[in-house]
Amino acid sequence: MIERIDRNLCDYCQICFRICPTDVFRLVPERREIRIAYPEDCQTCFACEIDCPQDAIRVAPARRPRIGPW
Amino acid sequence: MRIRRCETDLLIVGSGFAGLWAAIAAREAGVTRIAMVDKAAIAMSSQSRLCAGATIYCLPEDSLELWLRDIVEANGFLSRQPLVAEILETSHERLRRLESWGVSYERAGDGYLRLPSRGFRHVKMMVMPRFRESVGGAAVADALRRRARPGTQTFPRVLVTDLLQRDGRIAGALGLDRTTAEPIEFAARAVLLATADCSFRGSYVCTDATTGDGFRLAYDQGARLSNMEFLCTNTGSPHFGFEGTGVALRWGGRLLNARGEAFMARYHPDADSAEIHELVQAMAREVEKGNGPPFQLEMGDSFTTRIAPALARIGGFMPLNLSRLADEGVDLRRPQEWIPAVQTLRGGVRVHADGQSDVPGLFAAGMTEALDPGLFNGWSTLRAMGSGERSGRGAARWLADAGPCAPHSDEVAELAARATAPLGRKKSGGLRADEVVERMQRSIFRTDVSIRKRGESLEAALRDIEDLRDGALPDLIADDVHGLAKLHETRNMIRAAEMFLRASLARGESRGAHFRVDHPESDEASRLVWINLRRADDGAMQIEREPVPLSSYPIQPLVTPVPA
Repeated sequence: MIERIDRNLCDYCQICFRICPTDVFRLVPERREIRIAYPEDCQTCFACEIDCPQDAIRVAPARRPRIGPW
Repeated sequence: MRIRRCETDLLIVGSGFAGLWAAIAAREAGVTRIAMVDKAAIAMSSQSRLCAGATIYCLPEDSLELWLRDIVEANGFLSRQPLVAEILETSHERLRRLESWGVSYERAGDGYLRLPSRGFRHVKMMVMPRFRESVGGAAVADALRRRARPGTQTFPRVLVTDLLQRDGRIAGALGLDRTTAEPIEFAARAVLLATADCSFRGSYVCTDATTGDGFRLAYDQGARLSNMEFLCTNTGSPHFGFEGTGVALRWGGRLLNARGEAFMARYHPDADSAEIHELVQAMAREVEKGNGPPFQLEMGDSFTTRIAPALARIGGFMPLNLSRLADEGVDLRRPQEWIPAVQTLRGGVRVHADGQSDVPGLFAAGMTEALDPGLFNGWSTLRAMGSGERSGRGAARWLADAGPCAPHSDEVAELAARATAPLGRKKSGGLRADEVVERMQRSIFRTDVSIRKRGESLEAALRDIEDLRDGALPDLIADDVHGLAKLHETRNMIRAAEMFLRASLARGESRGAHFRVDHPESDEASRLVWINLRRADDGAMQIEREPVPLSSYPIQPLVTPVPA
């Protein structure tokens, strides 16, 4: 699950916001910040971290609890 | 209510491999006005882009007949053979074109590195596509995007909620802007659905965005859907993402039951190398015997020596994931809890040779169309690319003869009001989408519903889903636009769940990943049918049994001589 965005590294390019398959981010234009608005919907695909040009994002490998067959 | 309007000839919904190839092929066939929508970014958020990109290509030196037989047999003879054959036959030309656009696959010596694909005898796949700095599915997606985008009008972050018809043919679609909730009317003479499949937000990794969107859109218009009983369950960790259980089991890993015993050899001659659905069947049978849960995947030192290097070669997100797990102190040489993980509903829209559904002007491609029900490495990517190209060309041919058509504006306004209504609902009473999804998962992920199906359990789950459909969906509330989009996705998943259960009840035999404890045998080939579902005029879900025309197909079951 997404862990953090490093505010010192993030340059507000918005790539993470645009590409997230599950729409986890929101823009805060007045502060030029990206907010992790819906972390519970993160599917831990690492796409935002891999595509971040500033290496500002860190995704932890743990996923939200899933319902299995038993 | 203000409604934006876009007028186009072909609207492509989805921008993975299938949607992108469809746009390229349609333009080459003369369609000048193409619009592409995606509920996330165009070409940057798809399942195609997230996958490792391994793809089956049939080269001139390969035997098309042997490959076709491999695929048809592995799919329990439910393949739509002419469509599969065409996709295989044209695969080499697509590879050649991808290479001319700058994509390269891993090589070995003078030729390609060609790896066997689990479940097949002859079929081989290529791995590790690269394009500029991208590797894996992202490389192919990036290359296709560069070819598809010029001249294509793109609408990122738009979720299509309804399709529109006029005079018995498709006339367009209604979408919602995922940032502002603003409705957008697409007046389109043809619509092509390439929205992947449905994972029901199951336990498998990286599939949360596949929510059966195209299935529900097509169903509502009266299209037939086929193979909806085939829900493929993979395996994985309940705690972290892991793609490549098959690789792990091939390179020294094994599954252990709650007693610490390796059990697969009791169930299958290939033991832990058996196909994924065999592993899941065996886990469920161990549970019936009281030997689990929990189960564990034991990789031991093979993880370091063979499995991790193999996963690194395949690419995708796994190399980063493995390094993060190591950072967190997860030692994958030690046994890890392992569970069945619902991955994908393999049915889809039944299409004709040109990719058109039973609704004039409505096309499907990729995992949204019904081609065959199996799940194999490298096959989904080949399917997506080949069917996208074919359906894009088919839509172009259809458009050449189709006259003008526009949706009724009063219908557009009514649907737009309905699609956004949950935003205004009072916050008391109604459920949120997540609560409905969890109830749905508890009903359909049960072993006796999704793995070793029983008629009475399927009936009970169907009653649960109908209750959610009729009791919960109409009053769902959304706190914001993000919640509104999830609400629509939930509506799509509930419809897909109903289709899965009705089709599972209708197929009174066992075949591939569809196993009925109360009907454990497979029917004779002469009685083989596809289960098709469609919305009847009275709104009920109607089941049709379509005989598989095996006698007119190139690949037929081999007759095994009966010993005297």
